[in-house]
Amino acid sequence: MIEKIGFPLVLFAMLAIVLVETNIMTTGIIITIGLNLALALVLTQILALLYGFSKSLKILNKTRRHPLYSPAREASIHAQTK
Amino acid sequence: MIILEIERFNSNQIIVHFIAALSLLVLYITGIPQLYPEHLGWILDLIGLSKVMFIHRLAGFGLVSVAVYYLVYSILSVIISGREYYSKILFPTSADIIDYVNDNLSILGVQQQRIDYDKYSWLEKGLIWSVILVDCIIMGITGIILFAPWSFASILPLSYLITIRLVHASFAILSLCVILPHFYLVHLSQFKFPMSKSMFTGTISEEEAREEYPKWYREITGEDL
Repeated sequence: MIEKIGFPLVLFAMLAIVLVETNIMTTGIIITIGLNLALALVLTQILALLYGFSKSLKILNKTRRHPLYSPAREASIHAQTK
Repeated sequence: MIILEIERFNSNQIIVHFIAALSLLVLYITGIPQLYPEHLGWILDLIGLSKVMFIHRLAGFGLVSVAVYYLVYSILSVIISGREYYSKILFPTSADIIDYVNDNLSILGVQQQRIDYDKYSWLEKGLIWSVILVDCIIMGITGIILFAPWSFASILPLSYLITIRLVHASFAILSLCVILPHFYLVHLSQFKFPMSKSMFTGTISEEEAREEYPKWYREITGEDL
């Protein structure tokens, strides 16, 4: 569902920013909701960023602690995929 | 040989993206409420204006530091890896302009064009350049001046300082309007929901590479699609 409302959400937030910045509409509940929505999206991004980074670090740590882990093998795979 | 995951970003790019994105997002959270206190004043009330300004400056320092680091890294990369490779992944090429025109024609329904992106599409290159020009150069310079305006008071008249404040605020809004579509593309779009993990793992699945970056995929695998 969020995929379907994602585009209108982002568009609404951007429209509110443009309206308030160009002084077309500086007050009102629509602008307040739009600006708060924009910052809510930014906050979600911060959470996603922290989650994604910590999860990838966890995976990296888990991989390196595996008994069959070999840095030489990883370097070889790395060179091949490059 | 079957390649399941293909490297798209190196560890340096992942860390730089993380620090730059985190700094930038914190700058929005702490900066935009100062512009519109009548709509977002609750954030200032919740954290406190002095703390908000301190966090804003700290995040600004983080962004400027990472920008300087990446500039040095890029210069060294050009010297070591050669300009050809670096200019291909960073600077817009004629293929990017063709892709840009084709994508827009496709959106307008004029023609149905097959996507044939290289490692980084025109949109991704555009985004990185907007971050370099707007966030790092313009916001960075105006931010440093606004950080300690008394230091520049002897060189710059008051009217200039007011203009610089206005430029800093306006470009912050422009920057936010660039980041919001990026948020849509990596989190809310149909194929990426809830989030694209390639910027954290540094890899992309073979299938995704074939679908989204066919030109790059052909180049690295030698496969004819």
